[in-house]
Amino acid sequence: MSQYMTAKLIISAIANKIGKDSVTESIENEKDPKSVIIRINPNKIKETAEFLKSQDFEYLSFITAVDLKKHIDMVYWFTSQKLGFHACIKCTLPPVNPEIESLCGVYATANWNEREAYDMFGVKFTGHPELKRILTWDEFVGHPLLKKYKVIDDPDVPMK
Amino acid sequence: MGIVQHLPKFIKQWPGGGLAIASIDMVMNYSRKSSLWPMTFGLACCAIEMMAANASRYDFDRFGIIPRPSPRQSDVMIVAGTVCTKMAPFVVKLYHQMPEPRYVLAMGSCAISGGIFYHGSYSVVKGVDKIIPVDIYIPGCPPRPEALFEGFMKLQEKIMNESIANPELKLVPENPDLGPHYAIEEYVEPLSSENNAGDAK
Repeated sequence: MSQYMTAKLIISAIANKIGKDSVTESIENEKDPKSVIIRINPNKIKETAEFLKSQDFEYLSFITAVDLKKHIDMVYWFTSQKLGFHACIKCTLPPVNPEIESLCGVYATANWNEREAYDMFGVKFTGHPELKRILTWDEFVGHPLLKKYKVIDDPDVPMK
Repeated sequence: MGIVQHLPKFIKQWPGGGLAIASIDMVMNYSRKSSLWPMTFGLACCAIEMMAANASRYDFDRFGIIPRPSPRQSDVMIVAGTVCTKMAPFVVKLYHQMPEPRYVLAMGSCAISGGIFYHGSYSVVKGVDKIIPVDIYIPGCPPRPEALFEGFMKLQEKIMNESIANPELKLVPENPDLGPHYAIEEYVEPLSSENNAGDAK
């Protein structure tokens, strides 16, 4: 892709690659023309990542999830240092048993980021080589950053 | 402690044995308090103040306080920062690796009681005294180097009052309390679509 990357260009390129129906939402930021937010079908995430990697998006900045109670959002932030461009790819997952394809085969850095998302939000990444807890210990029960997670402290001390 | 442990039994039988023990105590305590080598156990932001204390501006070296990187060479453990449940077994292990007599300084609110993580945290030990015996508590968030030195002075006072005749028993809790009693995951009713419409974007 040319050096004159624009948000419109990347939206249309992704829509051409994975199909127009798979791109459910795209937001351009007028104040920051070098970034774009695209919401896609979660089944197409690996295809999109492979496409972005072939288009000079050489760096996957982070992977995280957001618990919105009704659903869980996966957030992927792809960065191109060559083009100075950020592409934020979002996917909507169901709140119960969220599952999405792993990006470990495309970006090596996805390994630990996905383990963190699994640890904190319980998102299951299919095809991940070593999906186990990374921040909390192995015996830990639950996924602490989910809204439904509650900690009950010392029973003698009332929780505020 | 080796031979020193068994010494008082014999000396007490001599005439004037109490005086001898007092003299030995004086010499031993004075030498112990004058070279307190801390094991630096920087776990969080309190470690920054501890580093500042050991650097040239506050210069704890002039009091014989030299940070050591190994538990085998140190007398004091400064627990500087939040002790997470995952870290707790290693704190206990390093404490046991220190030679006796050993002392523990709990530096900062988190090491004393869990601090700001006292309520609702899923991974923090609520005070390092739940897992190892603590001698001195230094309040502050984080404590300034002066406060840390105040703690060392209190520890030196404590050491000067010790005696080999009746050493203080320091018991490590057998079943250490490693944090939240239990954590549960329960289903919360999802908000209605009208309330949550703004969040979806």
